[in-house]
Amino acid sequence: MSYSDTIKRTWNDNRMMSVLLELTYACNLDCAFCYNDLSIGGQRLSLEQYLELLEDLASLGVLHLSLTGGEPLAHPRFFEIASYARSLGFVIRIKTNGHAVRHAVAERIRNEVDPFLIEVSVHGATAGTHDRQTRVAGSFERLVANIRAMKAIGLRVKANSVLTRWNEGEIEELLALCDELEVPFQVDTEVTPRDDGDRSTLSIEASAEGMARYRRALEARAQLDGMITDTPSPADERKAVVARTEKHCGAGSNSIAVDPYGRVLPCVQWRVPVGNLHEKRVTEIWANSGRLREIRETTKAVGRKLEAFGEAGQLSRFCPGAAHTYEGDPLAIYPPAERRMAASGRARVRLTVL
Amino acid sequence: MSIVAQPPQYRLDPHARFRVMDDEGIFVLQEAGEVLVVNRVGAFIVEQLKTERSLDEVAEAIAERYEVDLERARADASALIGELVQAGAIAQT
Repeated sequence: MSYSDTIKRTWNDNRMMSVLLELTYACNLDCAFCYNDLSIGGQRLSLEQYLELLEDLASLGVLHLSLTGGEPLAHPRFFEIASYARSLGFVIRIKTNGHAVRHAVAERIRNEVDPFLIEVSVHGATAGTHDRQTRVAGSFERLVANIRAMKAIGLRVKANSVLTRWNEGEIEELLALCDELEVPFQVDTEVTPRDDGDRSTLSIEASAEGMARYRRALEARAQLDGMITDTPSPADERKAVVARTEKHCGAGSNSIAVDPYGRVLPCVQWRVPVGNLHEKRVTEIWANSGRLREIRETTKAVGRKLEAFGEAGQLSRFCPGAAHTYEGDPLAIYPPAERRMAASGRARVRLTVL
Repeated sequence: MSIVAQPPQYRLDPHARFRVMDDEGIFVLQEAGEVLVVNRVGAFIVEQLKTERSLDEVAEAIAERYEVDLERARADASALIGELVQAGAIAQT
């Protein structure tokens, strides 16, 4: 038995395993490329509804729970929700900008939540770059101090960053900073449109040279660490992950997201409500939602479509949620995916043919 | 006055997370950042250890549930619990 076999089975059998809760869209930073649609309104879920939801998720066998926002710590009942989740045995990830996680808060998180991981957003290697993206002066210095405080009391911390035109010139320094802080570092190379489809955020997308520089930095690092020996192609790795399942991803099949207003979504990126917790419990939505059944069928259609593109499809890092946001169609080839397919060599010819 | 040694007690490690999924159980070892998958019997054993139990208590539960003899159940439970203690998934008290 392997864990990857288990994951594939959850996709195939529609077993909910991972849930992401957007607790609030409130935030103490003001990031230039934030994807949240702040125009969305509605009735926020109450504490009682969150506790009931967590009980339902535990009864469904959900293992992984991500608490995010906005800034999740800005939710006034964050600790009550998170500590209850702990008592129900979830593996908890907290996705935070880290700005509020000073020593006392870090200690509360460790003692009351015991998260598996705290993911913080590091947007640059310097105050100038980071603060430019967060639009809050002093946020870089405070984040670095808070990461040190979290590490000092034994919290597991990971740094996430979106590669942009503003930080692409200091990617090597960013890697070095994370080394110095002793935190793993993950870069998302794709700036996404806002959830309402607004593409203004794309103006700070990383340049082609910036992407190449990032790849070179990773390659140099991997060679330095002796990590590259006989590297399989990304396409091979992708094939291994999706082998024995018809679905392209687990959106709506083994995972959901829930926004602050109770809307249940197949994935944080695929913003199509499949139900609302103000109207039905999650157990009922999971079992009976027609929209959810459509989503599951769509992930199969995406799998078939990409299969037809061969290796280019595998290399596209296609996301039906992103396709929906860009084009209003989860099957549409959206610009970043098309660029990646084209970069794989044969893709553009196939795009024309198909 | 004589002192009677109490048998070791076992329970799920407070930092480990565990879920039963159909016919198997999944451990996430938070400290180590590792995942372990155990089979149906393993999942049953771990379920017993959500509250503190001795090896004999676990063996009795296995024997009753799976209709195997007590010695066999004890041997199986001992082997698995030993491995899980070693991995940090089960705590011995």
